[in-house]
Amino acid sequence: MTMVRVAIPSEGNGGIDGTRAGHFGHCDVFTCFDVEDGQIKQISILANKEHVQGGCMVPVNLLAEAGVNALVVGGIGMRPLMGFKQVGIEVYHDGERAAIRPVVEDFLAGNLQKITDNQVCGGGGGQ
Amino acid sequence: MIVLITVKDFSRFAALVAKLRRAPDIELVPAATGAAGLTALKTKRIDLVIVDEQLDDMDGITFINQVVKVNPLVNTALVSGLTADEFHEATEGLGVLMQLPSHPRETDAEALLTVLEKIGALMQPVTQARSEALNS
Repeated sequence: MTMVRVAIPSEGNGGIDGTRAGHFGHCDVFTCFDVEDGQIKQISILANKEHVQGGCMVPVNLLAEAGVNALVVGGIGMRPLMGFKQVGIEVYHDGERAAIRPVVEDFLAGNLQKITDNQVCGGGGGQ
Repeated sequence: MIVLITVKDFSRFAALVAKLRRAPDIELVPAATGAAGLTALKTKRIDLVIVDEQLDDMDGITFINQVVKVNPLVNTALVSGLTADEFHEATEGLGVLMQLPSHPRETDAEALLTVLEKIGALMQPVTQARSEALNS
């Protein structure tokens, strides 16, 4: 079965028991889960880069280079969403829970939905 | 770098254009309407789009909404009379690099080029992940 790398924008040091960042472009790190056959095989932490106004393709590029296949966000702007689509990273949405673990468990169970274009943030939560 | 300037009244952009023309390796592509700008985006490898607040066929924010769907990698700068907070709220999801005044100056062109250079540096590959023990 194909390995899938899933990234979760995270606060602080990240990790499966950490807290998700609500503002994906401003997150401290991305907690990355390598998943195969519905099981987590490895967890790694990828430091985010500096956030610059208009630089929302920076994390898109960062995650694409890191081999990420899927991203779970609480919110995202139209431009980075289009960027992720362009580089082949699928973007899933959970706007409710702050904890990483239950969101990852729901991803593994196939319970998260892909974000749609009309769910994007127009403003403050955008990048 | 190819810069698409989508504006109706080019005279207001004379200072900005003059500065960009003096910069090395910059090609300027003019477009007077949103439709013409979107056509240029589909036919040329545009790096930066400078957009007026209002075009004949659409407003600048509507134009940028369409730009990000055609090519999200393109950076944008938008003329706007909104306050800084209003501009941030209206455009952040669109990833606009910079708000420009109605008569952009040479210093605005310099600032744009500086931000573009910074983003270009951040786009360079530096992937260093640290693994942590599997604790699931």
